Amino acid sequence: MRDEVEHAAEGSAGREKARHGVAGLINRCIRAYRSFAALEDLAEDLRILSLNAELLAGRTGDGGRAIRVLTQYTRELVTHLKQVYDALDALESQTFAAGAASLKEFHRLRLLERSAGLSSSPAVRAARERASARAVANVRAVVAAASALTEHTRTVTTITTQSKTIAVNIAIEATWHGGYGQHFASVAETMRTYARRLEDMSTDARGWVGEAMTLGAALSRAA
Amino acid sequence: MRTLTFHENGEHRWHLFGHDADRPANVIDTNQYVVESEGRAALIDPGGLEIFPQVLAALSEHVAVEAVDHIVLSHQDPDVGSSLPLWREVCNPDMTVHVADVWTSFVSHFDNDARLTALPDSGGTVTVGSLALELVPAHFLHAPGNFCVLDARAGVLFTGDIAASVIPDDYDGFPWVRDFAAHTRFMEAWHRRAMGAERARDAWIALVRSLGVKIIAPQKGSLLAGENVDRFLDWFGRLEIGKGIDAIAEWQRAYQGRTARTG
Repeated sequence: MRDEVEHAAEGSAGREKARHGVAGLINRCIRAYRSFAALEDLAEDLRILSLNAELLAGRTGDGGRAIRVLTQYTRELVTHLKQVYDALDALESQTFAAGAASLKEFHRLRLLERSAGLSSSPAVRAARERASARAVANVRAVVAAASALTEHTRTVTTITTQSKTIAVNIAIEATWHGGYGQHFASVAETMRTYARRLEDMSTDARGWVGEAMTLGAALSRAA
Repeated sequence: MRTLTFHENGEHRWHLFGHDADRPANVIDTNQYVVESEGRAALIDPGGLEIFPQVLAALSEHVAVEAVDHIVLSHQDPDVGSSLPLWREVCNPDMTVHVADVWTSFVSHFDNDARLTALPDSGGTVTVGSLALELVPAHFLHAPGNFCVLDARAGVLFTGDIAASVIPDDYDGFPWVRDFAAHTRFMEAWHRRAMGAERARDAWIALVRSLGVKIIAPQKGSLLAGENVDRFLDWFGRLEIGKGIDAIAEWQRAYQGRTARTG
């Protein structure tokens, strides 16, 4: 069966629709990346909070063992968040590179299509087909970057849920710790605040990624 | 896109493709040239990206694109050669692109994959069929790395932006200048501004007078032939050039005035 993305890049109407689609896709991806701009700082805030909570738990002796387990789990989440941040950083560069290459190739394709309309030279037809193939390959790369962005956004959403659960558990533990209880309650509240910031980021990003995937699907279905 | 075959002697031809009334309104009009000899061809200043389709269509009516062995860029400007990556798509993969040594890394911004032959300041020779085209230094007229193309057999000198004119679409002095005195109004502003080096201008004029040139073929506007060649050289030699340089001192005076008032 003929590849629909290839079909989209053929003909000037399909090419223009694909070009607009790629430009829109890049725009949505940029906005999604911006949603995560403060992710690294937030991960660092979470790491410091978990270290402080662990120090506090140390002072409570054996009674703080459950809190220590929760703070260690928090640091695992921090490690995941930093991995996501690094992956997003690399993916952002890939998205821009593939997006820019697509737009450049569509520009060439536009001129070669006009040339093919004015000249019957087989060399011109062959050049147009090569440019079309390159445009298709670049569109695929942009759509793939948007898909990967979706996966990272899902990961952040999962980490958000886990952070909330940890905050609830720390709050429960705080009720068992008498004099230290108010300190752990404060840790739980700060944790909840961080989880809300994380949730805001992933909600914002999910919106843009959702639009990006709709555009990506439309590109793949072929204008 | 108009086509003019202005020299033909057996298998030796010069074609001009230009004066395109259908080009986008904000795109300056340019002339693109093809020199043919014994079935092979060189494309001189192939033009900007936006006019590539029209130039290709016009060219392919006269020359097979596969026969183009050389592209010569007089200098680095976008209207001269930003179409380079598209020409490489359709032409012979072994085609050579000649450009001034000082511009190779700049032209690579148009086309990083192009195989560029760097021309030294002293110029070079390009062989097309049985014809030797001389690449004649014309540095600082206007680009710091700039070449004319001499076909001594035909007496044609491609001069790039020298002798260029910005002419109206309905100008009756295209392709050939009829009334040189009247034509200068289309050349004067450009030459005053774009040509900044009197020493380069004078050296170039002296050189061209020694070459027996019959036709001057510029990258923009009308061609000059016969007595109009000498008329152009005389006019260019007398012209006050470097317009805009005075603005440097004018700005300095104005700046000193402003800063003196404000302390």
